[in-house]
Amino acid sequence: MALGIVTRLRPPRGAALGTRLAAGGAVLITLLIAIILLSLSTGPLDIPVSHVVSIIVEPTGLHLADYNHTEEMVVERIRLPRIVVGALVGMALGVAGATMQALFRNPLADPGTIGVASGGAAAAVISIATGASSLFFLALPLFALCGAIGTAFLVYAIAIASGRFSVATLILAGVAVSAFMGALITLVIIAEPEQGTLRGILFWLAGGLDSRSWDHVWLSGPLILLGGGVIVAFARDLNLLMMGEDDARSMGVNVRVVRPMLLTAASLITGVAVAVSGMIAFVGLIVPHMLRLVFGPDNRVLIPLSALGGAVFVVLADEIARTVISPAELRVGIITSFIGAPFFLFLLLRHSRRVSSL
Amino acid sequence: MEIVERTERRLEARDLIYEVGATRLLDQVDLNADKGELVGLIGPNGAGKTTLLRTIGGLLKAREGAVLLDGDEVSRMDTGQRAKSIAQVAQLPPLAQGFTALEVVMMGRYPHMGRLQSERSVDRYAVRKALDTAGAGALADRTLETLSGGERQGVFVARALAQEPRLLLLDEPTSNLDINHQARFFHIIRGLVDDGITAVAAIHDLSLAARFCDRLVLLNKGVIVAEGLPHDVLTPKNIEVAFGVRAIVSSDPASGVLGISVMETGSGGNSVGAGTRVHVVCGGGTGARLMYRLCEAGFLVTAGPLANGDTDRSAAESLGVEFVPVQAFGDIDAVAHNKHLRLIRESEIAVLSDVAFGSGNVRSLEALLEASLIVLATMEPIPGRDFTDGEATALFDQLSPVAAWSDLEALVTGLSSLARNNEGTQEIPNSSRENQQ
Repeated sequence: MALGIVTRLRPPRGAALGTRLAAGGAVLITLLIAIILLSLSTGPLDIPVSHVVSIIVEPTGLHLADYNHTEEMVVERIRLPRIVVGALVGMALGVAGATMQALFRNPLADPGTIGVASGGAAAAVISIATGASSLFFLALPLFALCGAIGTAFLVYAIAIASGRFSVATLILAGVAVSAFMGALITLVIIAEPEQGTLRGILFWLAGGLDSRSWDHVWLSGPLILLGGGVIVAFARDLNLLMMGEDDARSMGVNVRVVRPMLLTAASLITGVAVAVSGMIAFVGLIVPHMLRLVFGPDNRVLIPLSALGGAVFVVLADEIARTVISPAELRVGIITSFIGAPFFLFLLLRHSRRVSSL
Repeated sequence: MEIVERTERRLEARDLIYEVGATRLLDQVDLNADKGELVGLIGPNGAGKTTLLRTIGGLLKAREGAVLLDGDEVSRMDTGQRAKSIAQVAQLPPLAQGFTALEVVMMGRYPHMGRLQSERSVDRYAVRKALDTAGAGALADRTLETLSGGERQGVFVARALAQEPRLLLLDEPTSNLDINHQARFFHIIRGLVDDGITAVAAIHDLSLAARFCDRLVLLNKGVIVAEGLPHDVLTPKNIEVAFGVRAIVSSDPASGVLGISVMETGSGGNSVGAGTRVHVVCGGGTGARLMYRLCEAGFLVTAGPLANGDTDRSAAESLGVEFVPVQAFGDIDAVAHNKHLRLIRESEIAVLSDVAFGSGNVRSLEALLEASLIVLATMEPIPGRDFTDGEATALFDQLSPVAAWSDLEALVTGLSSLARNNEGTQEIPNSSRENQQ
């Protein structure tokens, strides 16, 4: 797969931070641009890449090739917003996954570890079942976002209820709340008499980027960039937190401020991602892992590259979802799991000694 | 070990009280350390050593008391300021896999760098210097999981040094290292301290603590039991109070290094003494083994006059046995004689060793006349040991020993049965009669 190329281009492990970041960034940005162009040109209407490029650069005044109005509409109104949402969601999940793994010093942590994803999903499912999702435009993502953020606060409140914050309590509370939300979702599905509504729920749960518009971009983009930016700025603090709380504090990290802030940022961007795309599994778990194998555990490299890697992964998975059984579509969440799980296992077996490196 | 400067007080911890729930883990603990001083924190498990280090380092907040670093209160410092002043090395360094030694040490530069600032040449220089000082220069590009325990400990010392601290706190840093790496580790710390850093280290190994530290603080149940120079703190008495074991503290005659070994008391046949007070009159090496065996068997042992330089005196000191100190080649003066009389009167049994008598120590025999029960630890006739022209023999003849054993084990057994019979009839055990012939 695409990231396999990165493995072959591995810079020496001892290479300086900037070198690793630049090498990884260059490869991933090139890949992302290539996949975006491919994705913009393929679909029910085949649009030549030259036309696609021309449509994109048109606002700058450059005119490269002639294209018709339909092509412009398809690229600008349908495919581009969908791809941008996909890239943003991938960024959010990649960054949130890497952050949670570092914060919890646990390679199995993912963006959903503290229950954010299942909380968002439960709120979305309930809003679909009750019809609240069609009350107004963007009602569904807003409900999902509220559910995600509400759940994050609930889990955090449980974790600090004992008087002293502990990571173990936080994870366990997240697991418990996730299980509860999962049961809630199952209950709603079983109790739903309407076939159409039921299908809508299952559709949403499988995660998808179909018919995402620029409104979804404006809803999710600023929050994801904000949350991601905060995490990038605190990447060095994450490194120190991986040494344990005492070590981090003795080296000058204000753990009591930094950790809740990073948790909030990671939860926020996860919630936003879930709100605009449903449940897209596996991205937050495997993207940081793959990149860690190549570039090492330093979060100052890993976090930015996870953003790019997540974007590449989700956009590519969506491209496959759109085209593999064309004209029908698969759900992107199914593709990420179908491709991600075997590839992850392949890496796991090949690097079994180093996957645990966290 | 030379002391660099003792002019200003670097660390001053006053009246520290730390509690978890109703349990008081530190109770009014004071701890001071000067510039260029290595202070060892010793004490049994659960004594509060780690708690004290964490409180000094600002990781725990004391309920009462204050920690001052060069006069500034540590709890008032912000985390960055504190990290530039105090660095800590944990007992078990984290195994953060995948990080190279260089990356780990660079983390120590955190308090010196701005949030989005990248590593400057001054940071790289500090990291390189710290790695070299800690003897980990060759490990820079190795990842943590490929390092041995000793190497990893070196990397974390380097990380602490990269913080450029004034105070270094070490929590049993060598408890997982072999003896070679333990010594190497402390040589490195000693070098840093001699260059002006202040270090406080919790140390498990008492001999190691005595060898490398300027001063020791003995902690037990959250209270300071003793503090001072190693040989003043590491006495058999203090060790028994804190650790609950009888210990032998010996000083290597050549190097002066203190050695501590634990006596196995109270197990099996070793507790026959049951606290019976036994006074030993010895000298010239005739009583060392005897006193050791009696202490081990659980007797409360005191000793008669012992001159400085006498092997028996060193033995008594390392066993924590109270004795009557006298000058070598001098006479037993009135003060010493009175003390000797007191010790004899306070004991239930007096034991006379194979010691030879000259004009200097003959008064010991005079004091023995006051003993209620006398046992001989030798079969040698007195005339062969008498260098006083008969004065010692005359005094000896006035004593009425109840038994004599030249064999140490028989003596211990005999003394214990004597002690048991002491309150009832004064019957002499059978074995002693046979031996006495």
